[in-house]
Amino acid sequence: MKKKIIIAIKTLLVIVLTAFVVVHKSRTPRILVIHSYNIDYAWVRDINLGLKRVFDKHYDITFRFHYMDLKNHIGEDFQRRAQEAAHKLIQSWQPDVLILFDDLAQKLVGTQYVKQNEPIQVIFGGVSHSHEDYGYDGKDNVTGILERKPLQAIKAILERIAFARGFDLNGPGTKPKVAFLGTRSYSINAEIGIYNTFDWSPLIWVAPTQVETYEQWLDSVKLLSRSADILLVSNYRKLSLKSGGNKLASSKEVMAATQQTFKRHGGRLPVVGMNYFNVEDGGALAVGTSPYEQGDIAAKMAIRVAREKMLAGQIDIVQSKQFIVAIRKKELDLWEIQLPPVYEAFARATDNYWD
Amino acid sequence: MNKSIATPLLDLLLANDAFSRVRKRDISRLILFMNEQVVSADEVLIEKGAPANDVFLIIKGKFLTDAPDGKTVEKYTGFIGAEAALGAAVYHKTLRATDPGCVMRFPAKELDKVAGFNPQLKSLLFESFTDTTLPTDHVSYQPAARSENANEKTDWQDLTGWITLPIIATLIIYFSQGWALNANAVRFLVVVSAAATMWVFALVPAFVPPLFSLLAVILFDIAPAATALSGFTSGTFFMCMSVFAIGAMVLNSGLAFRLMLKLMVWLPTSRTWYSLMLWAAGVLMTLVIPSPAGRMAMVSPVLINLIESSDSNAHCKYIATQFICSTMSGVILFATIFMAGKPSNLILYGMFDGQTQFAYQWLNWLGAASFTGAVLLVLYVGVFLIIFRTTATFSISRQVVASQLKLLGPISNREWGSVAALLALGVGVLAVPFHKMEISWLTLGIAVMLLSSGILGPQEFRKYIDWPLLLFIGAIIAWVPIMESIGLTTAIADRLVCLSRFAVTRLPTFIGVLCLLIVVSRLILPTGVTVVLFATATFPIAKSAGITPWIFAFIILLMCEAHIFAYQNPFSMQLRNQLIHQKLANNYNEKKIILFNLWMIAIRVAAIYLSLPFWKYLDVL
Repeated sequence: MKKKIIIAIKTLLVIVLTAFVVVHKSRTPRILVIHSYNIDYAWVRDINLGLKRVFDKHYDITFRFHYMDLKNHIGEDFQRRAQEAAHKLIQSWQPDVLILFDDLAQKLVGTQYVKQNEPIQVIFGGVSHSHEDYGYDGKDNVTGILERKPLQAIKAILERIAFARGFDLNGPGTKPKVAFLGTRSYSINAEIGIYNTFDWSPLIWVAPTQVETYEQWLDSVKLLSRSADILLVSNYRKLSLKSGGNKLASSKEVMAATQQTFKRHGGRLPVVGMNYFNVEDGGALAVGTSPYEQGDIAAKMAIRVAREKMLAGQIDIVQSKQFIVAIRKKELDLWEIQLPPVYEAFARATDNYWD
Repeated sequence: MNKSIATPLLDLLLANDAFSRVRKRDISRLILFMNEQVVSADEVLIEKGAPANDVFLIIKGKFLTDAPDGKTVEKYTGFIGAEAALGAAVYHKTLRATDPGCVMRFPAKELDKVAGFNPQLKSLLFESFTDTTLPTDHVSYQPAARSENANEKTDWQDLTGWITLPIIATLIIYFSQGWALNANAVRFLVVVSAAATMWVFALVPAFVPPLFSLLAVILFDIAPAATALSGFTSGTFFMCMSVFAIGAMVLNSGLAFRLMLKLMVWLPTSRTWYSLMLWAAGVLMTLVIPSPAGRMAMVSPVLINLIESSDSNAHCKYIATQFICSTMSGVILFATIFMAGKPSNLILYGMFDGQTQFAYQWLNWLGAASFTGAVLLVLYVGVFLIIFRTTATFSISRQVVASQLKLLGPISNREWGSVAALLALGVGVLAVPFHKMEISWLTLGIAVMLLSSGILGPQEFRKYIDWPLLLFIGAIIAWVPIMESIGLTTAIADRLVCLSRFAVTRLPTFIGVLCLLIVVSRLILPTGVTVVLFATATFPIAKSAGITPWIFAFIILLMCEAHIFAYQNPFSMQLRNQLIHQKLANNYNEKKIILFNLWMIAIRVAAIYLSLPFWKYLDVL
């Protein structure tokens, strides 16, 4: 009899405990972060740092990270599989909040989940296009942070290096010409119009160039070294080795070859990256949008939506404000350029300074 | 022979002091291994120095042995040759019968297993041993059977291995100067090469090299300690431990054995149905017991019983061979189809990144592997019908089965506990979207409940969980994060870029080469080691090629379990040894088994190729 009572009590305890666990877990918010690219991409790595700064304080929320890896693999077939894998994950894991980074994730995933009466709330980050391009305007389950290149900061540093190399920016002398070279990637296509309409004066803006292959890239660098004094580069990670091919040129090789070719063919100022991690690839100087801000803002929005059980659309969409400066001293010294100490201090503070 | 064991003899056994307190489920299993032996006057039952394989229980008669002081010792009860079950390689005393008598013969290994859970039986074995040997005659214990030649061969193997290890390490250090790798990557390559050499030459137990690698990574600061130890803090580690515990529970509660016996009772007594029963028992246990060796331990007594019921003539040999092939394929055929079908699956699952782990856990794994499983089933049935096409008939008495079922009695609390654990696991896995608990913690929860309810005892938890294997898993699953953290994955992928392009553009050829390499490697390497080495080499290729590592893992696992010769698989060797020990080595056709194994390799390769369109359909490829 005693044994039977003990067994009954144990069984009851198991049932009660299981019920508690199920109730607790069903109340625990779940946030799923989907990146368009992979963790080996510095941009993604640093967005995650921004996210984790916020997430680490909320251990009672369940987080999961998913990488679509669309920078390393550019084929349409891979893109379709990556899209399908992301959908399967969302369907099976059923997050309360979905954080989507960069444009491809919006195009392939976000467009499916941003709609009226959708229980999943969507936060976007790293978006170069307009959010209207994805049909996000007027939807109540979406908000996020737009990524905009810090053109004012880029212009300021270009003026500084032009001045350091003897250009008279305020006088009647020849003003430095600035050219942009990039790929025909989805995000650059979105940004190029903004570059063209930006007020670069006193610098002279040269019509931008977009290419597909590594060979075209190097040919363009040669041409631009004759028509421009400063070369701005961005998003060269999707340069294919052959036209229509899926094999990509190494980002480090591209940066090294770009700097050498530009200098050898008469470029008068260093190649400047528009993403801070261009210096990680070997570049001399870069100014780019802060990935930490993208991660930090998106995480804070997601936590607020998850905690307060509110609609994401109740939070206003914001634009990036912060930027990062990255410096490789050895490369910059080749141009005999001295930047004000504040730049070096800033680059060192964000761990983006290489001796 | 055991098939003639009648109820009175069983009653006699149960009435014997030695077995009166032994668990009924243990006796029920032991019945299949024990033989009644009639002894004539002056017959020498065991001889000093002979290999100690069996233990005898005196049922009737008187036996004499010489004591060291020159006197003779008489023995009427208890065990004879008990030293065999206590670890001795040879008998220490000669015992002969003085009158006609009767004994029950038990294989020492089986009796030792039962004694492990029945301390009073162990004590009786020890007492029986000391009865005839005190004062001691200084016969020393010898290590388990290894011939001198075997020792010499092992010594040469050891020597070659220990010489090869530093040579390979030095070569890697020398040649790596041209590979543009960072110092930590080179160090880790040296560590991995040392581990691989230890495995290939079997220099140390299989779980030691991963521990050695873990230690080296920490001591040489190759990667942060947290990364090196990440395997032990991962959910996968606890999931493996829990799955092993639940499997041990099912194995030892008697539930699996009872189901086997029930199957034997329900199914018609014919060759085809017995064959199907042996196969189905293995397949069903694949769902609940994560160890092929554990499944084989459950099915093999029934198989042996069936083979013992046949003779060694050609007709019966044919049927016995069919039964053996049914058993082996039942135990292993679907081991890769179910995620918890065998420990190697869990090792590779642990080596996946978190994203792949989530995408291919449990039901998703089963879904992706289901088509291959169906193809394997169809091809297996076809091959089986071709190889074992006969009109021969076979049937045995159900008397033994009935006796065994009677001994087991009603379903025990432990068996109900096993049923509850399996139900909880099944329902829990299916209801993940509802309870939102990770499966790792769900399995741990079930294991904790089994332990806290006392259904799974601490002794069984210690004894039946393969702790060295768990250490192996915990240490090995950190290899991938270590490689990632030191940039070795990218470096390997960059250097194997031609292979990854080959994998993308000519996947069928790549798979063919992979299968061939695995089959050849398995001739010299054990399953676990082959699995780990091939996964370490192919996962970076998968990453670079944009293919999910699950595909390569699945192919590696499927091909690694295929074998040609018995020595290649522990469960196969285990069965072979049991058959030899039961003096049944001549009752089956070894060549036919090898032919069957070759067919099994062919159908595995065919199943992989036929699954490619299905994987494309699922977007796995």
